[in-house]
Amino acid sequence: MNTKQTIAIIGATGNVGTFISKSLSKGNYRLLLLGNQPDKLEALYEEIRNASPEADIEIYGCPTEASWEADIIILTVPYGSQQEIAEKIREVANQKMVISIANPLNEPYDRLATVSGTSAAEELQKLLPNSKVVKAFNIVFPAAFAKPILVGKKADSFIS
Amino acid sequence: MYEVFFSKFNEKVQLSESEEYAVKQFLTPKKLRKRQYLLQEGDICKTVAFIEKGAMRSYIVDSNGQEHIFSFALEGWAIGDLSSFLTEQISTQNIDALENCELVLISKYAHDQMLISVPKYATFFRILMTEAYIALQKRTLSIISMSLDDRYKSFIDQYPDIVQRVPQHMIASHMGLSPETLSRIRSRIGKSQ
Repeated sequence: MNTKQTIAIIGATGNVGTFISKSLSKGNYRLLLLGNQPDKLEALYEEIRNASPEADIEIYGCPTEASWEADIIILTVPYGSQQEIAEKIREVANQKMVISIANPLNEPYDRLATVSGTSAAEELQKLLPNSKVVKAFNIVFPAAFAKPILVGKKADSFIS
Repeated sequence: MYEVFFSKFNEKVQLSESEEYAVKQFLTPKKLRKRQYLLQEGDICKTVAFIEKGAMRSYIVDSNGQEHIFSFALEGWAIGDLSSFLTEQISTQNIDALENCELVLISKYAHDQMLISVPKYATFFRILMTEAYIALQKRTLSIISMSLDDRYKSFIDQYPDIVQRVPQHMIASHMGLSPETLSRIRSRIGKSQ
């Protein structure tokens, strides 16, 4: 696609979020970075700028504003935060693609928080009924990300 | 987010509350910064945009690299490459924002769904098309039969807001004139008033 897409990455300071931000910054996208740790966000911004000076990236504070501008929204927040963020972006994410990478782990990270029969992405889809929720990148643990992955094309992750 | 859109909609076709709700499910709210593209040539035009706030233009670039502006759109107007949108063929048009914009996008998917599930949307679309066709007819006739001065007068009569918001060289391009020619026309008209 020639037309530059705007992608909001909510949770850019997490492991997966950082990785995705850096990968996508090499593509033809306008990236809006959001995270709850301002210094980590700044550091990420600087790092991307240094690696790709022409990268079209901006730090945003408000997930609603960012999602309003975005064509695609990537949620790289823990499962526990999913609902809160979904509420904030539901209206402005109408008819947009929302990519979720949450593995629905409970707090001690020792088992799934979702009840059997449903998945984090399915629950997100219920919270965002008019968005196209896509689940991706959630099989490989964040620390294991080694190869660049472009959204939609991957070496060893699955997108459903 | 959708005030201007539904105001225009209801102007043409009255919607009940439930019908408005039904349409709302299919709308994509979008913000575009000044100079950002909605569509670049070589892509298929996947959405039509209604302008809540702001101004946009569509243009093509010829083989000499020169821009030719096809249309402008302000609040309450729609813009898109209709041909590419309906036929899903590659567009030769570029559509970008002249100011920061708040848009209501209707994707091809949403459009096709609404045609089936919201009958009044079909009426709305038909009315938009007929109005656009009539405007295009008027414009073609003015191009082939009117003097440049009269063409310009007619344009600013019909679309006074555009002249306020759009730089002169773009109006010249839209009229198929060089900026110098338009300048001369404007001073001629200015002197005669």
